[in-house]
Amino acid sequence: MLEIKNLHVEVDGKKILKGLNLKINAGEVHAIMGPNGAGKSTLSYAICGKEGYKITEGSIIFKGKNILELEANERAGEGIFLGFQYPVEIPGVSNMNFLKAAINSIRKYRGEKEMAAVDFLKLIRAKAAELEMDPEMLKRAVNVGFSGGEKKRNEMVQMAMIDPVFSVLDETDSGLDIDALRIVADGINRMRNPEKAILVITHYQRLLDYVVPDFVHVLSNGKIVKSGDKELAHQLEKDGYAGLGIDENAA
Amino acid sequence: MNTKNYFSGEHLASHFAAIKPQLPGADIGWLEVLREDSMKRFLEIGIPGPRVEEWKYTNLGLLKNKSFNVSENQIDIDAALIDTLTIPDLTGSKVVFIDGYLSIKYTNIDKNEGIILSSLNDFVKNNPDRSKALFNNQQSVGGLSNLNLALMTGGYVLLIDENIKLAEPIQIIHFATQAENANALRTQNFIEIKQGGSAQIIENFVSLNQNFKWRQNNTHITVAKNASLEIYQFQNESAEMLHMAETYIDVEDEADFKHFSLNIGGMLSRTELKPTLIGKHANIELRGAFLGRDGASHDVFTHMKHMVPEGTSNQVYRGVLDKGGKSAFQGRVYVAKDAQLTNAEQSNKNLILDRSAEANSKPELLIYADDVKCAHGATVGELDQGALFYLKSRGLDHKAAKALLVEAFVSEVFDDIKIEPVRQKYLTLARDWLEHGE
Amino acid sequence: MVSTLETRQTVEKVGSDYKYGFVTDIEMVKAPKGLNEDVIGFISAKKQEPEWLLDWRLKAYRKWITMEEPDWALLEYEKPDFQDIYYYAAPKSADDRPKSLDEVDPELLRTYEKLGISLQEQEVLAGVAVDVVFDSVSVATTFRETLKKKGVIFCSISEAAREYPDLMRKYLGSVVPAADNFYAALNSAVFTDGTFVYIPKGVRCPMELSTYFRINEANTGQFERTLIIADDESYVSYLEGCTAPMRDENQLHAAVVEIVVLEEAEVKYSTVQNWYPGDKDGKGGIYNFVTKRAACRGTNSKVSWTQVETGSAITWKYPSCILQGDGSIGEFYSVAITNNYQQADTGTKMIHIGKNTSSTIISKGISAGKAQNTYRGLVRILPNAENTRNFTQCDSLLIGDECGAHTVPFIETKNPTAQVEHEATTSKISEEQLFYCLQRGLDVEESVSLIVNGFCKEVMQQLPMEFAVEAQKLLGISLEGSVG
Repeated sequence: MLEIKNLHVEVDGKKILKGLNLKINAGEVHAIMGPNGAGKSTLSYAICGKEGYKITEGSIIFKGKNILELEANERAGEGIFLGFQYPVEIPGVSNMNFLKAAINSIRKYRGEKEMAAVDFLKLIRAKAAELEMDPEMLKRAVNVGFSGGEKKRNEMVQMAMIDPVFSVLDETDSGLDIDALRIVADGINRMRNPEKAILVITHYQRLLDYVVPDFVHVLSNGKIVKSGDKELAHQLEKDGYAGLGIDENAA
Repeated sequence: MNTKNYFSGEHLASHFAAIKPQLPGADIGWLEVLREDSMKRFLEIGIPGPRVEEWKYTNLGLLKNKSFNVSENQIDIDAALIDTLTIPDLTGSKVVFIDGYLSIKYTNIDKNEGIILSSLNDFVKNNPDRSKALFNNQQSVGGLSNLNLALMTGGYVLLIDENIKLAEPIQIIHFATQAENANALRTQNFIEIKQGGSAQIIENFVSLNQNFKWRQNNTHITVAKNASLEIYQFQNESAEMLHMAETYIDVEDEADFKHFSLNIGGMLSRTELKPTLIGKHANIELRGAFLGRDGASHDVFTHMKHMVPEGTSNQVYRGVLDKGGKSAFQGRVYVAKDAQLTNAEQSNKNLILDRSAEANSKPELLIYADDVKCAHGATVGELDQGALFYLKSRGLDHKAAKALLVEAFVSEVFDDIKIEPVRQKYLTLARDWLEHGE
Repeated sequence: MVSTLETRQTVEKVGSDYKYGFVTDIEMVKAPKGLNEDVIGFISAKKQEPEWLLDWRLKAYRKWITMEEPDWALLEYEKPDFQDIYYYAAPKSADDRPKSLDEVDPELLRTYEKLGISLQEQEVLAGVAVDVVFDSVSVATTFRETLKKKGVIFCSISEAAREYPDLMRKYLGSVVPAADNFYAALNSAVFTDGTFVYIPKGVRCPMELSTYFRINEANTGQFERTLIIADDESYVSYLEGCTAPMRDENQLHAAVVEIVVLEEAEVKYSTVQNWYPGDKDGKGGIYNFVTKRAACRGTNSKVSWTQVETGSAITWKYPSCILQGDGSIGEFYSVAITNNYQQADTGTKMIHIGKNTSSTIISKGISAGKAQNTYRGLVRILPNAENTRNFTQCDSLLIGDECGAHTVPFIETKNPTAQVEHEATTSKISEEQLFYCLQRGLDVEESVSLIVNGFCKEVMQQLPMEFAVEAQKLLGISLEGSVG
């Protein structure tokens, strides 16, 4: 589904990713772990097309299509979703309106008809309930005045609504208490399906107890330095990055 | 400029002609030219009337028929009086002006390597080239600032060399006597802090006059790269004083400028502060309070100019207006097109304690850059009745409760002052003022 | 009919996204160019006005010629040549005023259809009573019969001068005096039409009243005058919309709106101003110099101004409230968008005279392109205004680094029991917000429109439904091409 080859990315003239390779097939859940500053968020932004993240070398092929030429919204239209580490506040725009606009834009991109208002309402109520979100939150402005946990839960509601083919979840577990973590993990697990794929980016192993990955990769200094199965995450938990010979602070 | 909103200052031309020969430096050619040119500019512009937007709240009509005089022959004042105007425990240099002229008797300047502190008149005499440079670089554009250039009788010059840090704050006392033959007090000061240098200045304005006097005290400041300057002003003059102070400040890269002021006295005070951030990462802090009653009117006018990126500025002003008091805060923040990532804040809060008091506030933002954080807030209101009741329920009488709340309101401005005796002096002056109320 | 062909060609050449920039081919009656006492006499005669009104106009004119155009606003433009303007232009058929909509020139009706307001449609579907002012003349007032039953008077101001002289003499110029300011004096001298509304005691106007203004003729100024009187315990919601054709030269619009609100009455006045803003290079566009003022004379009376200003090359406009009656309430909700070379200097005045009066000001300024956008406001608390409250919030949004956003509030308080609060912020659309929207699938223009609408939400939700949808779209259209 997604194939990243020899990816080099620069931000403000600084080389962050230095030849990263990653292949993710439909139905798989991958986890990327790594110390602070290893380039984890840069990878997610590069996949999603954030401005300022300059691809100097390499390619990203999604569903057989080179997506590097596509704008961020076109990549979303192709079915890529990013769960933000720090979800952004948009004052005055209700969650409901935001999602409706997003879903209809994606449908327009795909040449589909707009979603009927009634269907939309039904769907969003159902998804909010699944993720145990108070329906009142849907009327509130996007992420404004939300706690860290509420923001992350809101990301999960958006993901469930948009129903992407491929999701990148950037540090979705950070700032969550154990109950919220469980709910978010349930949300992610619900997205697991043979047609879809998920890339979980995390600093800690904690989330991976709930969302069991098929593959675990360790990212350090702009490259994947080790890949394995879920056991690799446990090993990291036990021995730390130092156990792999990675200096946690010298990313 | 719409000149019809200005009134003529022609009557000051004869005053100028009369005192010109006795003004300091009358024999210095370039200075004479400067005085003449400045007078000409003043006469062209005139005196702003209330229809000039920046002078909307301060009526200078009282200047219309006034005649003025200066006198170099100072009447003797008691040394004990000067002592009471000095902040104790501070051992730095002391400069005393009496009726606009330097008092040799009370002035006491320490000699230090890399520091020049001098009376303006001496400096002009001894350093003609540097003096010319100072005058050439000053930014007086308004009519009144040009009038002060034409008629100045003295002032001080402080030059701090690179990386020299002044150990003790300098105290400057601007004293006005009851002498009636000296009713125009015009001083002009220059401060230059070179790269990495630092200084602190305390300026105290006090007067005993029972007849009308007009003080103009203008200061021109440069704070170079990495340098810092702090100015602490106290103005507690008599009710017959028209007090005007204009300060122009250029602040370079990574430099700090802090200005604290307390205006209590005078029939009318006008404090103009015009800082310009000309270097990146400059930081400016303007803080002040004005307390007015019995016909006293205070007008604080700031014009913060962010010309380059990444500067920060903060303005905090508190006004308390009691019976017959009036105030105006006019604060302008200007962010030029190139001054991206500017962070500018401004807050003006006013308390009105009596029906006959008046508070005006005009916080202004002029923003020409898009990536900036600029905010201002202004409030006018009475004392928090809930808090007042709470204090009374704990046994404080009305007056004490009120004083406590007002003091808290004012002291917020001075909380961060590091020189403890200076902070104390602010609080004491404010407290005295409050206790003299009803 | 001089205007059409040449103008149309020019307009086509200029090209623009302005949706309302067509010119209508209708025969016009015009007074000679320029202004003097004869032209005023001509206007007054055309309108078959009573003599007192002609005198009133002439007095205003004589005062006007001694006045100077104000220059305190943050606006830069070439001052109009007031002798190069037609002060009266009326569709010829207006001489034979239509008795009902069926008799209105079909060309004119098509014009309004192009504007998105079919009169019949409005009449039947929305139940909105519409008065239409075309260039200077009121051409049709719908729904009059229904309103008449309730005692509501809704007619052109010329008609009111003839039919309701007592109300007119009592209230005309009582809120905005004939020589209040330069533009108001000009308007008083030459106003050619406008709307008159009277809501009798205790009546809640059964429908929203609405006026659409359109400048059509070249070199024509539009000087309409609106007078609304809400008698004791009455209520009315009034909507105003404006458009103009695209022209190379600047056109002048100097209107006056006066509102009188009596005991316990309430008036809600909403404007969507979409005059032609000029092209991308700043050529052409309307000069919009408007004086709007409401006097809350009765106790507990209320007036609420809501404006969405997206058009005009120059906007000079300060809808104000004189809060005279004890307990009266003034509100001002404003969205002003400037793009390309547009300049707006707009805000409000809240004059608190009565006790327990309160006012709210919410202003949202959006500046893009090379535009300048200024909020200018005055909150004045007079000595006898006990327990007054004011809250002001001014927010500016900058899009791009060549525009300006300014805030110039005046706060003047002479009463110790007043509580006045003013807050202002300046921000931009952050790259993070934009990326967040893009990642969710919205394109750049949708994202900007969404974020800007969110920024303006507090104001937009004050608009009546009919207007809100249109206004929301306008925000998006006005900012097209401003990002990316």
